[in-house]
Amino acid sequence: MNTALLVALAFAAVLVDVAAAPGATVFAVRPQLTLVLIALWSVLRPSAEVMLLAPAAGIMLGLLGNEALGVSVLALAPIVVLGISSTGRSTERRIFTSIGLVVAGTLAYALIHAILNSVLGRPFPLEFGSLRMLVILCVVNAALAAMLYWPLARLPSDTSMRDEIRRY
Amino acid sequence: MTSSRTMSWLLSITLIAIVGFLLTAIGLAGPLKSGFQLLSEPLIATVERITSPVVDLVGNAGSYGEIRNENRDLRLENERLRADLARLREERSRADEVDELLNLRTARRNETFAFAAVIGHDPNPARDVIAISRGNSDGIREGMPVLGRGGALVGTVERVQEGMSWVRLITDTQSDVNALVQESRAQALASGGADGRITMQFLVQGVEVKPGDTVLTSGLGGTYPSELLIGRIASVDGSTLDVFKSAHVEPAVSLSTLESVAVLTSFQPLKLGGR
Repeated sequence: MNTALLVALAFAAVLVDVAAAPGATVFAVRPQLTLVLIALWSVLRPSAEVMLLAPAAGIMLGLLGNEALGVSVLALAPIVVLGISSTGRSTERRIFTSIGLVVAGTLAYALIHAILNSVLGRPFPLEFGSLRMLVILCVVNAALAAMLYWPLARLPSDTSMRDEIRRY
Repeated sequence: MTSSRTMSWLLSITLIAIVGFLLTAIGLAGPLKSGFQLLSEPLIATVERITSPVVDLVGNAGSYGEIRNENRDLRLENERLRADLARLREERSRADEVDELLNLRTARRNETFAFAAVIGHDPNPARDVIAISRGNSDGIREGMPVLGRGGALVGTVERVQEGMSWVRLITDTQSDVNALVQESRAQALASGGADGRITMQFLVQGVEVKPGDTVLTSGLGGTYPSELLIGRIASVDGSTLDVFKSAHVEPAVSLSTLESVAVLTSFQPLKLGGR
């Protein structure tokens, strides 16, 4: 996928998170669309795409969110690393991988976010401090991932990737 | 190969994050964020507007039970408020009528009244008789005139019981009232008819009576006080060859929707006006 399109996608996801998510609370937690999108993208799409999508989204979260610049860039990195290492399975099986990745990514994101914000002297977000809220957030993010999985899995494959496979 | 690529990517990510931390530490991140947020503000507002229906749906999805209970409570409250509104409207309508009746005290200072609610109608279809909520113990006597809104005559007390009375309306077939046309001073009996209308009979041909003229009680015979409004002339019948002509009178008060009346208790009739 085109670089500009990926950056636009990251921006759109962050915009939705910033604009819509504050009101969209489910069981008192807000689903993280950007995180879920990156997790699914890392499982379903070529690694080159998610390696651009994640830092772009991280920077934009830093610019638009109430956090230190660069925190989300690092907090999203484990999702990408875990996602690109889980390849070679069928689309049907990858849904479980994706949901598992979203749960793990949610935990990793919260942990890194909390640690980095504390180190940088930022106030510790209350929802990450509560284990119960974190568990609910994992469930809500996993539900969102299940909803977004099939539309994303049906996206047409990248042409350069197809050429690469053909050459192989 | 993939591993080294991932490592180099992680290194780049770390460098980007460090640059971000440094910008935050030296205070440059603030203006950068402000500028970006300012530029993104219209987009954020647009996204907020577009996604608000979905946000509402998602936001309320977790509180379905709460919304259901709230909806049930609101429905109950709505029903209660509707009932209250209907009751208040009814009370207001009644209060307006009572207010107008009470004005009679100001208009007729020397008279005394007993105010009563209309509590029933004579089931006999041939009669125009109503039941009112005052009776013998309230000083009501047979033959007392009964007034409606604005002090217009509606009938006369026909029969009195302990806690209620029966009032013969001016449209009843047994009702005769000595009346006069205010404009021409023509006098005649205003009698109720089977068709529920009042007719003034035996009007002398030489006296001009036209639709719209006001009809009052004349006071003749002593069964009613004088100058009580009965209604207006609706139509005049009879040719110039007839000895007398007649006129239909439209009552000043809508007798079918009467809810409250005032009985003129200070008036003592000399005789009953029934036929």
